[in-house]
Amino acid sequence: MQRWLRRLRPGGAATPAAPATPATTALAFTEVEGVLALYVTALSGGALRVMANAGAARGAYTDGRTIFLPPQIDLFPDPADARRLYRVMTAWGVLQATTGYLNAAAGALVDHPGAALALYEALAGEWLDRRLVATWPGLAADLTRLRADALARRDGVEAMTLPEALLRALLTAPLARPLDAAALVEAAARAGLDAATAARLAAVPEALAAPDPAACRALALGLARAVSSPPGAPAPAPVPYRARLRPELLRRPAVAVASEETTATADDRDRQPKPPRATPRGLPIHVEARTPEQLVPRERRPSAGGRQAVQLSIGDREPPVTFQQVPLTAEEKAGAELFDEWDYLRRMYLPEWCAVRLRRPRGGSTEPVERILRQHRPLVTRLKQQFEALRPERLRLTRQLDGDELDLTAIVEDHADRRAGAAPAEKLYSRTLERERNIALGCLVDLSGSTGAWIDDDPRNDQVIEVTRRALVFLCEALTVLDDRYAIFGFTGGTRKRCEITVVKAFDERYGETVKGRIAGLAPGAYTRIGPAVRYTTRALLQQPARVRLLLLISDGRPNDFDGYGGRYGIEDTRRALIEARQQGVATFALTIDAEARDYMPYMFGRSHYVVVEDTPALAVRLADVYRRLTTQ
Amino acid sequence: MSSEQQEGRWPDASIAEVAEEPYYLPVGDEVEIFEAAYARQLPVMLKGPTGVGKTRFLRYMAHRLGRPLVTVACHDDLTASDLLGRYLVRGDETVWIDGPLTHAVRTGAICYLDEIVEARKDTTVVIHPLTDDRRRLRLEKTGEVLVAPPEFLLVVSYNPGYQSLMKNLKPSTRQRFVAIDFHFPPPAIETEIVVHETGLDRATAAALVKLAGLIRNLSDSGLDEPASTRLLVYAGHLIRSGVAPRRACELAIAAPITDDPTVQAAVRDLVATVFPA
Repeated sequence: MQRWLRRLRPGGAATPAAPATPATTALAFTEVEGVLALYVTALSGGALRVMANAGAARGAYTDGRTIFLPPQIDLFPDPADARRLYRVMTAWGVLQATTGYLNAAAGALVDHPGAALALYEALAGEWLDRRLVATWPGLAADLTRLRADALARRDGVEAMTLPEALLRALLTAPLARPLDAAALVEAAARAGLDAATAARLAAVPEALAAPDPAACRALALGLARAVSSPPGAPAPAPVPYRARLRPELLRRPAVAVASEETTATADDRDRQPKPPRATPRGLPIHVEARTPEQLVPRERRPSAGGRQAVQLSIGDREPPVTFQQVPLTAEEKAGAELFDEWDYLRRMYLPEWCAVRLRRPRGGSTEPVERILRQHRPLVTRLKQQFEALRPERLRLTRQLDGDELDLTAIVEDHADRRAGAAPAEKLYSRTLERERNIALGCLVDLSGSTGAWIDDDPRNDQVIEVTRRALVFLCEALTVLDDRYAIFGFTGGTRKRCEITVVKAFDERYGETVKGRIAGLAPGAYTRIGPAVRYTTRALLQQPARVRLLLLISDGRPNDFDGYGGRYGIEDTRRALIEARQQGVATFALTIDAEARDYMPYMFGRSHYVVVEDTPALAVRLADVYRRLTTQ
Repeated sequence: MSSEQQEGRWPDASIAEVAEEPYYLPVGDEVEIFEAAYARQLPVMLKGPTGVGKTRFLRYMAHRLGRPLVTVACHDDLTASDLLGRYLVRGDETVWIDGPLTHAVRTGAICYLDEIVEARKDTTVVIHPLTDDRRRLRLEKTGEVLVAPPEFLLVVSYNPGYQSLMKNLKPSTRQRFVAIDFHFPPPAIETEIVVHETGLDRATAAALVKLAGLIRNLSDSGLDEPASTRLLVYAGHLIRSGVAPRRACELAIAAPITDDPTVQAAVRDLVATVFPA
């Protein structure tokens, strides 16, 4: 700790011999992303996620659903310190979003930028630091260091305004002890606050110790009215580990506050899955009102970075399918396979409702696949080795108490032993263990427009579809060591009249040049009408002779199509299609990269029959891993 | 033949009179449900993740009901004969030895098939006639048909989180049981359990439970098995023996639940979030 402080305060009184500013080492968000994604899921109970954002370079912030973190941290010589800062930033963001801090802020501060906001941040930030230590005591040491660091970095801040003076007085106070009111009053007086207002600061220690942010908020707002807030005043320097308040993101009134207790347990998810709420999960601070019938297609990351992203405008929507009970015309049916659809509002099937057509796969050069193989050779080798362990084995067990056959060797030996006067053996049988696999896999891949988006909307990252491509290559390579029958279907569509299935690999096709070319040629399409795709795959699986049939869905978002298939309707039809599959003996499982998937996946697939991949690039390996785990004898 | 000799022939089973009352803290109405099922001779399925207290609960119930408990750890080499019994060659003659299930039926014990999905499906079928209202057990090799006495009860355990398709319980088997669902206990009760089992102070036990809650939030992010109450108890024991809490949690919780390096790192971060160095 001392050493750490010394490093942070070069030339400070404590360390006359310390060198001048030591060189810092940058740590990129991408290096910690995988761990942080899980970390934030655990701390927030899946309500929040983390994402790098250039706008967060000067300080993290949250909109109540995502914690935006700096793309890199370049403050410390030792990258381990940057890792700690990322961790504390994330935990801080979780508490900020889950304790009511944001709600308290949203109400009043939108119209009070400048000094009032700074004052609020100083007091509420201190309140939150203290909550953080009370909630997660393991972070106390890191937080204490970061407070000292923040204080050291404020040496350059010239203007000793009231918020600045208070902030420094607060950061100086040790977290382990209650605050000293007198010191705060004194600091405020030095900053030029009149005595009457300064006296109000006596209430700070109590307000900041309360688990509820309301008292802190009332106090901060009361004080904020007393300080002048010139419109053009420069924004105060941020405290590095604290998520800044971005009132413009909180413009919508908060609906309710999820308390720490309600967000941080897995308990509610252990219960029977419920129909999902129409609004996405996340903390209800910045959510737009949505009802199931509102047909706003919710592609995960619309347009921004996606090469092929679909423009989702209101104009090209048709009326909801349920209000337009028109069967497909003969022309619309021509050349298509027809599937029923479940209308949950009417609790009935709409017969021959969806027209599914096979889309000619875009074949072509296998080079992209070969490149993936070149780049990941050790990984592919490892996967193959793991899959070899799944090979069916015929094991002859000898010297058994009981079995299908006599163990002649044992009998002869026993005979000799008994002649020699030894005790007779009892284990005189042998038996053969058969562990046949006999599996058929139908791999169903979401090719909707959103798969064209860059991961985290950052063009330096891969597109989602690139990760899918890699996942398929790894799976296919690993499966070369097994005899499992498998097919890969891509699906997309645009309305029930044009559902499209791309046969990347048919069950009876070999994984070779042609299939590799098709995997290389996979491209994002339009929408995500999952129901008909599931029904198509189920039917294909049932035509395969196999003991175990598995439908494995790879998805990046909830069911969605622009003729009314969004929201609850799409989820209900998909759920019904999956139930149909399971009733016919087809097991169903899903991998998804949608951070909000916990809202609807349990309802569609059932508990523990889906995996949310928090860190999108990890999907590539997870697909093969999941398949291996699902089919281990 | 005495029970002990009998047991020596069972590589996968054990028999116990539960003389001392095992520690068990009820979470809901499971005790009443079990007693009702026992009184009505309904087979029981204990459903829930590993380490949640299913086996402890059953030992507690066996003690309460005053019945011996025959436990069979199921695995994929377990045959019907392993459950029912077999003829053994002894010198120039053959001797019939009851298997654990047959023994439990004859003596009116509680027979517990632990992790029944691990057993092969053709093995599982032998329990079917025992689980309907005839409650009969047919021993083809001896030609006997045993009728289970009222004291006999068949109990199986089943972990629905098990994700291998190759190990799923057939509906025809599942639907023969009254299922009691086991979840991880609420924090206050789980803390109480950790305190009782380890003698740990309440604050540290509560911190362990808090950590488990965070880790369990990762269960649909690819964690094979969430941190169980049993692992918390192990960590608690290590702490009691003087191992630093962070280290104890890494050894007893983080390492056992996953091999994935990223998940491990995240779990270690959670440990460091809850426990000071």
